[in-house]
Amino acid sequence: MSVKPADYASSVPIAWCPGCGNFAILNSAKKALTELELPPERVVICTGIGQAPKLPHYMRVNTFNGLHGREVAAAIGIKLAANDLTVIVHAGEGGAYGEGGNHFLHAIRRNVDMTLVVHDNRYYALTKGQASPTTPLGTVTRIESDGVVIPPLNPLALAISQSCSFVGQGTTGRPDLLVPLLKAAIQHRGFSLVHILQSCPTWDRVHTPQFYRDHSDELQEDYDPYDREAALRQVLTPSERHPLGILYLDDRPVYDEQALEQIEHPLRQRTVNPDAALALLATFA
Amino acid sequence: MDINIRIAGAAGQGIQTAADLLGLAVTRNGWQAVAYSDAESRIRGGLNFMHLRVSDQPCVGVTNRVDILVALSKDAVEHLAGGLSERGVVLCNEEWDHERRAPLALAQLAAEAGSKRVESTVAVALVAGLIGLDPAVLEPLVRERFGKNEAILEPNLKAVAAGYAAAQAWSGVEAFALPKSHDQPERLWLAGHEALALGAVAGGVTFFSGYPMSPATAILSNLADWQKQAGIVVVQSEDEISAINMVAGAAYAGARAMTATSGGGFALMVEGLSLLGMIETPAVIVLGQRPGPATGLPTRTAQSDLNFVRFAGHGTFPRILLAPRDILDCIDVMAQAFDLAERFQVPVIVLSDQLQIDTSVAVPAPSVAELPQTRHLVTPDALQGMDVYRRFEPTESGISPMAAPGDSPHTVVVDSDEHDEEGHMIESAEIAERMACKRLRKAATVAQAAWAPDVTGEVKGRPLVITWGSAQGSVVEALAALNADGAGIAHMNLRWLWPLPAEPISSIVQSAASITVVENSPEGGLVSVLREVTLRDVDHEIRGVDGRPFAVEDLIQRLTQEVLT
Repeated sequence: MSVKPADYASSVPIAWCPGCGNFAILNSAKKALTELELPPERVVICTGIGQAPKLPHYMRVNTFNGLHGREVAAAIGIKLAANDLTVIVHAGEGGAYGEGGNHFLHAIRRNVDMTLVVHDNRYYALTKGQASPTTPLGTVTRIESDGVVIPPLNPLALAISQSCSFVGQGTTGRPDLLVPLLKAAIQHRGFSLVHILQSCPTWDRVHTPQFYRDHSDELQEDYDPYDREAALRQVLTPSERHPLGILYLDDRPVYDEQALEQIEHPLRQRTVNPDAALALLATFA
Repeated sequence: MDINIRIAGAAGQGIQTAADLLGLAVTRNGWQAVAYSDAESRIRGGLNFMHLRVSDQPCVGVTNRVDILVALSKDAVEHLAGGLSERGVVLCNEEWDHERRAPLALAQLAAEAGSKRVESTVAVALVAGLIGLDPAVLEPLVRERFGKNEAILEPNLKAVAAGYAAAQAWSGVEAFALPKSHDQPERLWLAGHEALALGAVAGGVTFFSGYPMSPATAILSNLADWQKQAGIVVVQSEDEISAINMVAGAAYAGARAMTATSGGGFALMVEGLSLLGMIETPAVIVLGQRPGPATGLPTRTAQSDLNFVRFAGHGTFPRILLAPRDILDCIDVMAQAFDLAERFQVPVIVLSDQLQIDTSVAVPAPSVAELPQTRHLVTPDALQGMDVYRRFEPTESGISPMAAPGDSPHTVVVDSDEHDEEGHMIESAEIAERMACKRLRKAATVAQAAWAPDVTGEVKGRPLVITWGSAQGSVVEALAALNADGAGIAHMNLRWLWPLPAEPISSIVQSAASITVVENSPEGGLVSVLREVTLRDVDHEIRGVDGRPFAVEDLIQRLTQEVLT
């Protein structure tokens, strides 16, 4: 049974701004899943609150649209209950790195087989243009009227330094590269981070799709993503240019494979058996 | 007759182990027993004790009487020996002088057994000898506990034999001999946290995520111990916010999911609770209460979170609050909680507390045959037959068909935003109203399932004492004593706390001569619930403000002074 683009089609009207980078991500997400022959009922997209999190409503797919910043935690619960399904999180940088920062740190450690796609447009767009964890120093906003004074987070360096099992970067300026990157991330066994540099036509006149096309480079063919020092050099060396592609790979043990060993799963198919308690009760006599 | 044994010393001296060994021994001997802990929030040092009551009659309450004080530290002698009963003795190191010290050489016996580290085992054997435990019970028990390591087993066996013989040979032994129990069903020595975890297993738990917090941590430990045997995914999350959101995700995916925490952790989970309400996803949350506000007294007990939990979460959504009446009931309530949560697609909060969680009792082996065994998800076969699947179909009962993703060509969509029948976010006033009304209808359906309260004794024209949760143990014993003297006090205990329909509670309460709420809280939670539901003010309140459980004798005194006069 082959999967067709129409399988992912949705009639829910889209509430994004015209020209939003999310359109490129939505199209790439659908294309990646279709090309991977994953039917919508075997995929769960888990999101929080913001513009990125609206994404699964605009395709036909299992959807858990939960709380702001908690999407990764909920997705871990989903994957551990149903590891026969493909679990993907779409989050903004505010949800993933700000409100959900603690979950991000520990998701890297835990290494559950899932993909976190972060739509980084460097602004809190839905709440009307405040600085986000990745807004560059000096950027003037409604709240930071003299310019942002705390330096932006470097999520790629953070993830690589903590041996995140897959770290990749794409941009909505190069949608042609997004599909293969998303496919590789979804196919990778373990926690995959896909950081997408996204344009925001409403709040950011600088980082346009053209800007990202002009300021990014595909990683060279001979780049070795298993070389952590090389990966860190890519993301820590001060540069006006952004590397695109798979930056880092680490084939670490996958949490769900270990946690579910000897446990009958998926958990939705389990029956209720009070006698299981009787066997344990005997140990208290 | 009951014997009260208090095993006291510094944290890390094996007080808990000794009390557990003794508790299991007296249980196997056919006696009834209860043990509760009084501990400071520290790993080593301080002054902690376990209080063990042993009786040939039912005993469930907390008492301040001490007949045998096992003092493993000098501190314990100095601070606790003053409270000894008339026949009371101290068992302690013979170098520590006290007028009530029994002439039993605890330290010397331990040294003769080969190690100072077996002092607590000597103490257990001395107590066993004093109360006349069958010696055939203790030795196999010590082998079970320490048998894995010959080097540890040997001094412990010597300690048991020497301690038991020394106590039996003492001239004062007769004051403590307990009669054999006539009613001797096979009993289990079970702690509240074990019963809560067993109940979860009986209720079909398959997913647990939690962050350690006293007193709920033990539930996490128990389920982790049993994860392979019972098939439970157990996750120690990075924080409580993660725990509740993992639970929400797992439950959405069709697991029977739970977490356990205390007040502060629950506070962190509150947004997640509201999420569960909005996406109508089942979950069981055990709240092990302790005194607050903030960190409060981390290792002590309270029943002060009822109103917090009743109103926790922004917006309007149904939730069910249950409170086990005693330790055996923890099994039943937990199993029912999982059934209710899935049947009504609501969060169910089981209110326990440090006293209930950390108390062990000798209980008859429970039957699990009557516990609910049905799962309430739409089956894959039923889904296959549907042209369209709508997760939030607005039914008359308010309960929509819940399916797990992955079992059919249909997709399952849930959203923390207000959503339409299919789960997609909406702005429409008409749909918003339809969904809000659906949840209100569900709340009414849930309320119809409320359990009737337990009522003991004739209420009409009599004083009525009302309890919930752990307070009832001491209350039951206090009332038995008062009623044996003709006090005629009725008792009502609530296991289902919310949502609470006016009947039958209102009629029961209105018919009583006076109503008294006994609740271990500085400000009455049940008091305000009763006022709201029955429109009758409570006449007397017996509140707890110090983080300690109610003692039977204190309750007898206060009920006599405040209710019976």
